Amino acid sequence: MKNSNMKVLMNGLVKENPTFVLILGMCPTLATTSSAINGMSMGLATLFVLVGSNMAISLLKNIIPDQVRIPAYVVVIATFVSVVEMTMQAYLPALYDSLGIFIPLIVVNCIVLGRAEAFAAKNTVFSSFLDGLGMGLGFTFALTLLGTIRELLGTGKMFTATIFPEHYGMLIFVLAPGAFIALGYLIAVINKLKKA
Amino acid sequence: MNKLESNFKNMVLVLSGITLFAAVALASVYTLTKEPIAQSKTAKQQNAVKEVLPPFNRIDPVKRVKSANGDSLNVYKAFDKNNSYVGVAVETFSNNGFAGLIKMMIGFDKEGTIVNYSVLEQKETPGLGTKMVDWFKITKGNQSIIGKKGQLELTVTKDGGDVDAISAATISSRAFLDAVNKAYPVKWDVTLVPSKEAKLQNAIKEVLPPFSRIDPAEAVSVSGVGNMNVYKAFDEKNVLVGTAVESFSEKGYNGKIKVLVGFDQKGLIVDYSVLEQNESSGLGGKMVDWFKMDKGNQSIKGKNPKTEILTVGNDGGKVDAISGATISSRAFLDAVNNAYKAYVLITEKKGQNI
Repeated sequence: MKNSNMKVLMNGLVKENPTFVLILGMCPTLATTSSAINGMSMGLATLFVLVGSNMAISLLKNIIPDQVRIPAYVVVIATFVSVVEMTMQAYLPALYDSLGIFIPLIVVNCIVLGRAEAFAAKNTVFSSFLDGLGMGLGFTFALTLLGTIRELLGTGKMFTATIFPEHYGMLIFVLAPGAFIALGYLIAVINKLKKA
Repeated sequence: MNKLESNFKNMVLVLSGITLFAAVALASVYTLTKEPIAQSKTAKQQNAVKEVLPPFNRIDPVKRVKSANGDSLNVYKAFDKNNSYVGVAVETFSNNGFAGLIKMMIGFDKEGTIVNYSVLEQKETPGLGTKMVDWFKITKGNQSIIGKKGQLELTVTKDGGDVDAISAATISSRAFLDAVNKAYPVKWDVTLVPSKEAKLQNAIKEVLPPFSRIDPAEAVSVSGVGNMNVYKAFDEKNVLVGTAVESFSEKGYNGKIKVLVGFDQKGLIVDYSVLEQNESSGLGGKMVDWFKMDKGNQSIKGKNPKTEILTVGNDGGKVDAISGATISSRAFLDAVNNAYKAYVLITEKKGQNI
């Protein structure tokens, strides 16, 4: 892989991680990370939409007039989201049950529209694909990490495997305030690591 | 290729093109996933029914039953291989969850004891309300609702009830029990609409004096009317205490009326029970108890059809017809008189005096 392509891919994973660095898409981040598996699934669903919409928008970038680009992007993104939603409902019903209400929210996830506007509209299809993949993986990684930490501290489990008895868990981490606390500390730690 | 200019024509064309394409894509994905989505939904329901009921051989097609508070719930009745009723699964719900709707399947055995439950849909807080999925199955303290019986009003201990709520999720627990309680009245509706056989057994008990056993049904052919089943009842000393006749009349306002009439050993009418009728409700439908009421000349209880002509006043008889439903009343009395004919035939056959 060419060096510049690698850079595009790694950009989303580390340097411009959507959650820890760009602080984008906070609503699904905070809401779905009550367990590691939920966080990961939300990340993967977003990854699919990101890759799909990035590629589609990059393909269409020259035929979309500037003044109507935002509605055009939103239609493209919404289409991908609906496809993900229906596919999930059909083939992964259990996952759909636990994530159901957050899937439609991917449409308004600013990462997706943000990447469409900031990257896909200016770059080739292949680098847009890599950017979508990188950003998606970065988002998935962040959500999985946050979900794992919250699940472990809150219920003593990790991907539903018990690490310590549940009643030692701090319930607050499963609830909304715990999401903010855990995310705050994670961002602090990652900033520290980046500077070092 | 240069970017298209933002003029009106381009904008309209491009946006229409994109939306059209999106519509086609969505429609095809919808068609492709429609079947699997429906399948996974029914599979989930079927599994839930299996989970919450005692072993069964077949279930009746789903029925929608209105519960006492007006909610319509899906009800699945289960039968074993001898076709006897083993239990009922009720798909119930509550809108009072911490995050709205909670849907669950709950199973009752034939005595009305809770066998098991399965939560189908809930959006409660993970780690708190979501625990309802198995919390109320665990035998610990007063958590479990399995094995509870009767037309209970289950409430959490905080509300003075006897079920331990999920710690820190009282609202979710309340909603869960709300859904369970909702299933109760439905359950009773279902079990109280018994099979034809059970209905007949109950009717026999209703129309006869206390007895300890009944003979198998005997068919009697009444000339000009048709075949009727007759049930003779005996006390513990094997003395005949009464005879029930499953009689009918074709002359109802809306067709056939089926009545079970009980006679004591002297041939007096003990009581009756309407087994089948399609008369107008509020008019002819009143026959279900009209002729039992001790008011004016309404009641036919204790009458001797041999000495008293059981016809309505209009026909020269002594029985008060249901106001506004003379035809239905005539048909009812016709059925009663037919029953008496059968009664006479069967007692004469056995050489007994009436």
